[in-house]
Amino acid sequence: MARTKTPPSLSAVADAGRRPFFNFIAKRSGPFDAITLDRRRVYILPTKSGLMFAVLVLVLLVGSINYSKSLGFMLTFMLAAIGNVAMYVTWRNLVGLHLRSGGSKPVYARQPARFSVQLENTDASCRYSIAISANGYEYELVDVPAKALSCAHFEVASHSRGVLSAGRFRLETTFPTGLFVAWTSIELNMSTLIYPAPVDKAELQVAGTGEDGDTDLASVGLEEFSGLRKYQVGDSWRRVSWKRSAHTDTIYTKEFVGGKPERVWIDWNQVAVSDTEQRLSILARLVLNADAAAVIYGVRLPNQEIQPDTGSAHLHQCLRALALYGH
Amino acid sequence: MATKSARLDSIVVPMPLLAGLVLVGLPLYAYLSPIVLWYVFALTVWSALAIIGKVPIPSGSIRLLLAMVIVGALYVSYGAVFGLIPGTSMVLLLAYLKLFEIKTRRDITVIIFLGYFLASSLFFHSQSVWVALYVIVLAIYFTSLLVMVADRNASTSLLQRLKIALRMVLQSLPLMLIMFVLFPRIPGPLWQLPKDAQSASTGLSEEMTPGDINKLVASYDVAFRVKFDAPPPDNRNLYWRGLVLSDYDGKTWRRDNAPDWTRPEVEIYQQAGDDIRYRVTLEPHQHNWLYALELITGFDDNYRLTRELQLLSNNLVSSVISYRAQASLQASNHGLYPPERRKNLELPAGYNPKTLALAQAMRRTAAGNPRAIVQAVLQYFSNQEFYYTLTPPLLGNNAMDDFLFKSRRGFCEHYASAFTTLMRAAGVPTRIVLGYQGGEINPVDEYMIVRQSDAHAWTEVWLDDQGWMRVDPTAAVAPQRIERGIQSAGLEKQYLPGLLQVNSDVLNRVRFVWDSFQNGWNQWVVGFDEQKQLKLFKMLGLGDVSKSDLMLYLVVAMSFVGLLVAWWVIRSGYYQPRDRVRYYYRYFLKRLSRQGLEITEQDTSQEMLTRLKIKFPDMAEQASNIVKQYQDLIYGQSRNRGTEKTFVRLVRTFRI
Repeated sequence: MARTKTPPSLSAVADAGRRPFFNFIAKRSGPFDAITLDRRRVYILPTKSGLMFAVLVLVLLVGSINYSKSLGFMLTFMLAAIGNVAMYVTWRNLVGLHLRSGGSKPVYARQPARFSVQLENTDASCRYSIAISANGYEYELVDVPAKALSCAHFEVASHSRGVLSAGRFRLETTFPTGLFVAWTSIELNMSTLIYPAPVDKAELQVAGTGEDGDTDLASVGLEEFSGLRKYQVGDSWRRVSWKRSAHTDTIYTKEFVGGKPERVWIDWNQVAVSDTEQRLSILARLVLNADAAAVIYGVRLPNQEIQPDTGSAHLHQCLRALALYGH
Repeated sequence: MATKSARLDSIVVPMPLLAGLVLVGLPLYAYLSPIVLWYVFALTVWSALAIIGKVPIPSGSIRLLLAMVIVGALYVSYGAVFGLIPGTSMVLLLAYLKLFEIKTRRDITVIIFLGYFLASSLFFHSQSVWVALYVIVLAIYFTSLLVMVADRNASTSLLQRLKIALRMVLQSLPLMLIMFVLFPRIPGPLWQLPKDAQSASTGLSEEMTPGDINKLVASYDVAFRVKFDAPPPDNRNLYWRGLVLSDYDGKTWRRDNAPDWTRPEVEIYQQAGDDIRYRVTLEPHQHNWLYALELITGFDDNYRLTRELQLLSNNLVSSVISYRAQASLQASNHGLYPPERRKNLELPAGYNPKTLALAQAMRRTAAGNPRAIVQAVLQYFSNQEFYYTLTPPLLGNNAMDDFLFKSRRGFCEHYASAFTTLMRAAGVPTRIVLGYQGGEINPVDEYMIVRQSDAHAWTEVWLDDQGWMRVDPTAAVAPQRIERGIQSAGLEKQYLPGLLQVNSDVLNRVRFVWDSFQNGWNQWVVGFDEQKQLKLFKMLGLGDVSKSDLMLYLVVAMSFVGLLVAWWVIRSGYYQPRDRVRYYYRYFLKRLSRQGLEITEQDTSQEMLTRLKIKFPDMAEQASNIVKQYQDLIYGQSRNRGTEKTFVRLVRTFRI
């Protein structure tokens, strides 16, 4: 997650009001690393219920005039004034909220990417029912208790591998009356890696991988159990027979037949597909298979070589290399 | 944490809604017809059972059927589905039906809006302080339901929601007040009011059967209040004339007014200082007559005076109204056409033979002189064993015979009735006047209170040389009633209103204060109209204001107060002032950065302190102390008012 610009210093935030006017637009558009929703950033409009409420107030007003009921006027005006107060309160439910990018997890292409945003409420009362969403995806509702942090998530469609920045998302609330909706649209400095979408297993066969190599990568992980041997440094922990090891002092590793080597290379050149994206998708599947089979694997790309290893960090390093290939 | 749809997951929500409908319906029950009332009860029970899951929610076709039954029931009960009572009943019942088809949050909102509407309809029946308070409670409750709908995570408790709603209602008060005072009042209805826009209330009715008024005496309700321009006249001159009854069928006295085109013939003797000027604030009594002091010599233009000197309004008095009038004790009424003479001599044929005989005897003794006959009858009442009582026995067919010769116990209407019968039988035109007699000055606000218990009936006798002369036969039996008021009339105390029985100074004081409050409520809230608006501006020294001035004031005041309210809402209330420890820490950092120290949000405090040490070595110790205290306060357990104060002082005294 590379920072594109230096984060604003606290003094800059505090002195925002003294900036020249033409900075105004730039300041509003973001993206920001962190931002406090100030009053100019939160918009408000009546909801459909709010419009219905206005009609109700009008009906009551006409009724009070017609029947000359003084207390009818009183209630009418009270409801109108409640509407007015509701507007400020709804707006206030967002204003002053501090937002900070909360990170994200990499996903495979065409899966929705999920970003999290930290909402901090420094006020002494709870901010209820704040909905967060982006691009028409379903919203999530969060409450941010008094003097507390909450995490809210929104999803963004990912179309291709690479780096996806979160883009604009929308925070809105209708609390406490539902008569008004206050919202803001904001972009935080958030991005996530989109791994190439791995191909299906069936597609892997069609792609005809492994033809010239000594390893049939398509079937990695499909071996049969053959026996146990003593654990050696470098053996995958996933292959340790914990059941057996628990009964004795030694640690045993399960062995599998099939004669496949424990150490494999997943090589760009092994995949005979000319389309780069398709090739990366196949490589991603191979990497996942290798990880699932708990073999020790490395990845060779034209511009990069990742030494064989195992484990989750290694897996993500490999996928990351695939995701960023050529970028 | 997340609910992803506007649709409702469960039917838990309607229970508070049902409670709201019951709350808003309760005061309406008194006005509903029995069929509608049963229907409301049935729907209440049904929806309660449906909500707790004991019975299934009725399907669409059943709901349609129920709706049709509603229309039918309304039509059977009221003969209409429009108008005040049928309309309110309809909205109430439809709100109940809507409970069965809640699918989205908007459906709930619709029911809440119906609830607000029903709450406002309560004011058609009464505009008392109590109803106003009740409606405010309802407004708070329904607003808390709105909060419930808006709280889509369902994370608030009922108490929290009520608190939020209460706060919003409180914050709405300033603007409400501004609008109430400044919104231009357009007088009169915009369209024809439904016939049932009014409902029954206490007070004198259009006719009088002996036994009617003594029921009223038990009522402590205020009939009207009077503000005299000068000191009020004596109690014995306080005859508040209401309506005149001339037609008698042997049992009941009724009005028999002269035609509308006839004019009163009042003669005023020009004597200085005789005029009594006053303003009456009349409680709604659902009739068209007003009460005015005898003998009326002046009144507001929008009312009219009949030949019998009844002051009438064009509409029924269905809300508190206020009018000025003028009276003179010296004036006299000379209106008597031949048909009026005939009318005021008529008696039903074949009734009360003994009474007629007595009247003939008196007439002979008095040699036909009307004044002498009046004297004779009054003396008869005071010399014979007549009693003034609130519990007269029932009278038979020959009611006057029974009263005059058997029971001899009666209230004012018995005496007025018997007197009129005797006078008519003796050939003197006589009629009955209904109204109130007396009144009590409230020392708190100097208003005179006339209560239902002051209801009274007296008579008018025609004397050819003098015109109509007031004769109060009750005075012959119970002079204290006229001199000192109903509570001193020696009546059975247990039948008088509770508050008239006691003689405690403290209690009197309390009820006077309470009454002056109610009076103020009537004058300035219920009766707040165009004139009151103008009066208020005069009192504020703004002089005469036009409607456009009013609009201007409204806009200006609303913007000004609106801003104040916005400030109030945003600053305080929902959101308490910011954390001063954080505030002062930021202030501290800001000051450092102004001195050229580069600080970013990502810096740890250690990094910052290191940089500080390089740039301002002599400040480092003090600064690191501040940072340490800040961390103690935010992350440690030591936070309290004292340590906060120390921290703030530390930051404030920090000098670079």
